[in-house]
Amino acid sequence: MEQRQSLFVNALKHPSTREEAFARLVGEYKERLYWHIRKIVINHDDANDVVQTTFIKVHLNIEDFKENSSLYTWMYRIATNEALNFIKSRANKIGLKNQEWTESITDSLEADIYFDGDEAALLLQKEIAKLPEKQRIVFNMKYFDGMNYESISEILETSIGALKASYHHAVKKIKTQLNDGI
Amino acid sequence: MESKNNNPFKVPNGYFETLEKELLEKTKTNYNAYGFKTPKGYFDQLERNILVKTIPQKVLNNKTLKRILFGISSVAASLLLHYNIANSNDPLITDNGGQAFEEYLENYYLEDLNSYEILSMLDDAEIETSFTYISKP
Repeated sequence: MEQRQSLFVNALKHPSTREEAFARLVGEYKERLYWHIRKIVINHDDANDVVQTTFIKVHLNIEDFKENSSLYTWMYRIATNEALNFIKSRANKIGLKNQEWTESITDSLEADIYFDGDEAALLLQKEIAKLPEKQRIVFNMKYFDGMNYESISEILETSIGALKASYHHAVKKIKTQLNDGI
Repeated sequence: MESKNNNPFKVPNGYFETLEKELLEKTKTNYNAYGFKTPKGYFDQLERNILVKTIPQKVLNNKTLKRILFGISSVAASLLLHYNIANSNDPLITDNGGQAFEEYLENYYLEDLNSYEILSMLDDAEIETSFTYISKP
């Protein structure tokens, strides 16, 4: 597995094979990274901007990739950072905190032509948006994507214990809010 | 080929072993979506967009963007205004080729901006014409 990754990374780094390898990388990861980003930034157009920037950064920085982590982990880390930077930038522009910006975007989901979730899905998204940023990302990765704590820990560079606590708090808050709302 | 209990219908060898995997793979997008959708054909277009931006061009490097910004007069004008406001006691020195202004841009103004913020200062045409691919030796 590691040997296969190394060969692929070498292909990405070598000028003669880079284009073909990068095209394969985009084909393999575009949907996974898009959905990871979409759940953070909520809006499709914003996710589109961020996923493209993510791949461009991967392309620009692949020569510096030291293989201390898997390629997948490294790309997820870039995608997460890009999504968070995007929110920070947009929120700053209109004088909002990151969470306020996320909540405002989520509040407009009902009118979003690229969201067709039912009432429960909408309510869940609204409650998720109220979580602190880190808890929100951990919740998305664990609950929606079914990622294990080891993978999340590598991507977010956070201890498994802290992630478990984050997820536990997030679930508890959401359950409480949903029960109160019913 | 497999046949069980006199069932006349048959399936290819190993069909049921791969069925679950294929179904899970096909529904993965929906599983991840939870109400979120994308425009039709979006992922094919996305792949093309990314490859167009990476293979013929190299973009979104802040250093490159900063260099480009120096050459764009409309942006420079707005930054010039900001410089004058921020440094009212030390007005812009224009007779040294704008060196003080460039240093200010590089060291103070652009340093804190990310790619999105820098790109937001350019219009589409400027972005389109500003990025050219420089292949590495």
